[in-house]
Amino acid sequence: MNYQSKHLPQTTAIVLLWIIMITLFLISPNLVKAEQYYFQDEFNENRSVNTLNSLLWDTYNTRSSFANILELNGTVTLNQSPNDRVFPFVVSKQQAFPNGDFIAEVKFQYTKVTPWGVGIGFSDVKPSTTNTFTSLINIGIWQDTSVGPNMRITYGGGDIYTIPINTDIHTLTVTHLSNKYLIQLDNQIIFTSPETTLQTKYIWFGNFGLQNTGVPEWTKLSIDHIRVKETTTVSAPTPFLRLPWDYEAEGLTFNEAATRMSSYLDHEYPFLSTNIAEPNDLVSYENIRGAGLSYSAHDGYDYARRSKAFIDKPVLASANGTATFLGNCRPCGKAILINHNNGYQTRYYHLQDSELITPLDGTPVEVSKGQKIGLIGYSGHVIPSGPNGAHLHFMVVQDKNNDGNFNDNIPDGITDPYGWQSTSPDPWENYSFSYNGQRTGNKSYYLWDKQLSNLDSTLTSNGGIFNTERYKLQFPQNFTEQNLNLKIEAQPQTKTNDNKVSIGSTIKATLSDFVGNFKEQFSTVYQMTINYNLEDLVTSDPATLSIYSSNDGGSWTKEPSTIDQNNKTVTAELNHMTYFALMADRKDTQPPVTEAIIEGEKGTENWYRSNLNIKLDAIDNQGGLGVEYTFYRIGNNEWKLYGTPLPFTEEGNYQIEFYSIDKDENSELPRILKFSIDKTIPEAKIMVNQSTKDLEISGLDTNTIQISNMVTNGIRTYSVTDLAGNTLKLNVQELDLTKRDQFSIKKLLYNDNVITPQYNLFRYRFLTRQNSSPLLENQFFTMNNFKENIDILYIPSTNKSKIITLKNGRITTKTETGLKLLQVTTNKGTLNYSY
Amino acid sequence: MHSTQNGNILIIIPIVLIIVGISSISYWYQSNQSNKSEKTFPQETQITLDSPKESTTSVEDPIYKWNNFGVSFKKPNDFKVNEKSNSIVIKKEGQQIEISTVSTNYQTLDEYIADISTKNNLRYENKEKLIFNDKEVIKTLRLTSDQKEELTYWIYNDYGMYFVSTTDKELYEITEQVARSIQFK
Repeated sequence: MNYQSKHLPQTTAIVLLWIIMITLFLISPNLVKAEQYYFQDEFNENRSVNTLNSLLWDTYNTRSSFANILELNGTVTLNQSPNDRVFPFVVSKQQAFPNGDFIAEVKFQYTKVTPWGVGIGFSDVKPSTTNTFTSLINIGIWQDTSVGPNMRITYGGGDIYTIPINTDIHTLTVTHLSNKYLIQLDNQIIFTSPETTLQTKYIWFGNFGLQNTGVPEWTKLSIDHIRVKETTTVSAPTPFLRLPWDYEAEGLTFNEAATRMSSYLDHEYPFLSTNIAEPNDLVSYENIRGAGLSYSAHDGYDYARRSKAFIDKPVLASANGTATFLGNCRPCGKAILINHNNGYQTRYYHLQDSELITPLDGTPVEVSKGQKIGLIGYSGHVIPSGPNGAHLHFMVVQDKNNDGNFNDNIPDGITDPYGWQSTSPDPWENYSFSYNGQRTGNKSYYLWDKQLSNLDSTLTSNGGIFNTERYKLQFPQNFTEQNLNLKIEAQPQTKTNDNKVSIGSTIKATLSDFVGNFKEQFSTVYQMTINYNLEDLVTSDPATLSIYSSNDGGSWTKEPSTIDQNNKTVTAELNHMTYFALMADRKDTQPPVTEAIIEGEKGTENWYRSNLNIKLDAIDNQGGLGVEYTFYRIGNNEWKLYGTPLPFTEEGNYQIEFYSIDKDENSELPRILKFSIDKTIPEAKIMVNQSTKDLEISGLDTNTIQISNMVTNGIRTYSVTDLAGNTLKLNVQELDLTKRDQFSIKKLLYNDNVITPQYNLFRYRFLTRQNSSPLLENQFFTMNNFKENIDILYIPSTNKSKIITLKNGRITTKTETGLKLLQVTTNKGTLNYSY
Repeated sequence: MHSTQNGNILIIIPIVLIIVGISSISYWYQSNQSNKSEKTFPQETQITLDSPKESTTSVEDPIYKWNNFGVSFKKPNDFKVNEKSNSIVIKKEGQQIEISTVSTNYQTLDEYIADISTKNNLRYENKEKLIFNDKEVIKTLRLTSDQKEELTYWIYNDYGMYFVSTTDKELYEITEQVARSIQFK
């Protein structure tokens, strides 16, 4: 009895605990869900037929067999068959949309299509099967007899989008923002509404009107999920902090000083002041997880030498507030905390002993923004130790529990003054951990009172600074009333017909509203600054630098610009969005001129009779930047870069093309050089001319031959010359000045190189006939001291030639028909005969 | 005494189960929701710098100038650049290379690496010293906390550390090309 009475409360407690556990198990998804979505059904439960989440939905027109609703395997499906002349209709039990801005998404599929419709709608009144309602936004199947069944989307009862009926999976997204509806299907914007006060409240799917209509089978609809997310944003605190040292006095801009930190706050996770272990990575405020970023668990920002936060420089209060000395943190060194009386505290570590604004006993002191509170030093734990490690550790803590005490909000109140600049979730904001009780990390907001470039691509009414590569666009407050999306695209470098060149690449800048409408002209101006610090201005005139704009990227207009030669920037105030470029006049606009210089023995015209070297000599115009390259090609071969003179040793006909480019890419038109090489000296053929009854000399060569004859002191000199100027001269002595029928070749001069051939005699006789022209009766040629002879006797009566030769002591005689003509030819100083 | 102990156990077990159950459900649910949210709602776009369309026939990668830090590098032709305030992401079809920077009071690469290795408890599978553009560069391979193999090139210049890194193995070669092309002014 005692035992029972003693343990009854315990048994009751156990039962109660089990009940609590089961209840929590059942409702916990909905509790979490409420934090994520205003309204949501993932249809993830496998339920019995015609049963949906009764907390979310009212159902109508259901039957047990054919016209039914089935939530199974992550989708809900509405069925109907012609045997059952109703179609299910489902309506959200409560308001599914918030009174304000939202994003709603329905992923659905018509799994079996017929011309008979079923739809999904967003309406402002709660629909039922008995009341009449009009959905503001509706998607459904319509039987359109003219073009066939379609899937249509309507807004306010009017069609806004129509596509043929299909069984594809679609996602309908409806965004309500600033009293407008943006409707997207499969991520494509299909409609933007004008401003309207109409607000959707309920969602339905199915077909409310199909009851006993007797129509054939209707389309089958499946829905994967319905989600409605409220997009009302929590207002961020007004930025109020300045960087806590005088970076401007050191010549840095805010952007430079603020981004040259020597350590980041670790968004995964800033547990430096605790003993909590965390992953060994640092995640920066831009969601960069770098192996070497300094350093894991860090709970603030360090500013040092590169931010020009030098040792001994004053530390300045980041904002107005109440400063106190922190005396019990050995690694922090001499430290000051400032309560800014807005829920945030800033902390300044590693200060020097001297010139602290706060008494060491902890007495608070009121300070104003920018007021000197101490000196940068290296007290406490710094690395490297000593003066080389001097830096300012700066951190921000939020009083999350609003108890006036910031110490109990470390680490969970630690916040990043740079905010969280990524579309991915901030690991620190969402991190749940145990440290003197269960805690969650903190949401960070951008708190600097000056704008940092490239934090977001959205231009708001607050203005902003956007940097891309060398371009900085600075928009003032109230430049735009609505949020605009800024996009900057790099474009190629350009040159204009009036000899201007862009310094580096150009850009195309656009601003568009959230439905993609471009805004090109503005009533107020913004400032564009283009930096040319990293640019090479060798080819352009720095005095003519200016920003230019263009509507088409081809025709450019100069914008009034200011050149800052110290910072190497050019700035213009602009009121439009187009193509932009930094341009300057080109110093050199004339191409170079290239001459071909040929070294070799020249013949006539383009003929050469020796090996050649061709030198391509390029000269830029006076005042030009000089020649950069000379290219050439021989015949149709590949173009090559010219270096040293080009040798030509083979005989033949050649064509060379060449041109040069100067250091500003002014290119000369290709020039053409044609030439031929013939290094071979002609040979000669000596015969008797029957008409002139004299010797006839002709040349033997592949090129055109020129023959000349000159007589001096009884010596005839025949010159045989080809186009390249190669000349064979034959000195021929006339042995019988009376009869003029005996000759001897005394010398052969090959390009004036004299060769004396062996003794030779060429003799011929003509037979005089009555009433007829003389006939060539006899031709005789001898050489080699009369040991080698040829004698050709022509016999007119038989029209035959008797040919008697002596060679090597042997006499050969033969007879051939017709008159055979004796030919003596030269060959490199020797004489040969033939007939 | 023995019965009391049994009774305590009967109380403790459900409490533990409650905690484990709620935690598990919440964790599962949040993870599920988080994944679905990422999949479903498009995020805002960042400023992107499209690849310049080269006006010449050159296949050379264009030089990208990160003016804020006086750094230039060759941007792979078919990659887009997203320049942030303190880092650069070079992207192509879901793969990316990150260039990040942090300042330091150290005067050498070795000093910095020795310090940060301790602070970040870094474990390298591979560590290689290289010379790019007359600068000493350290190449490291390591497993990140989410078990991805990360290739990083560490470059020191004038009290600044620069990191060129990727976790996409297909981009290892391009990552090295980018690191090799880095110039400081």
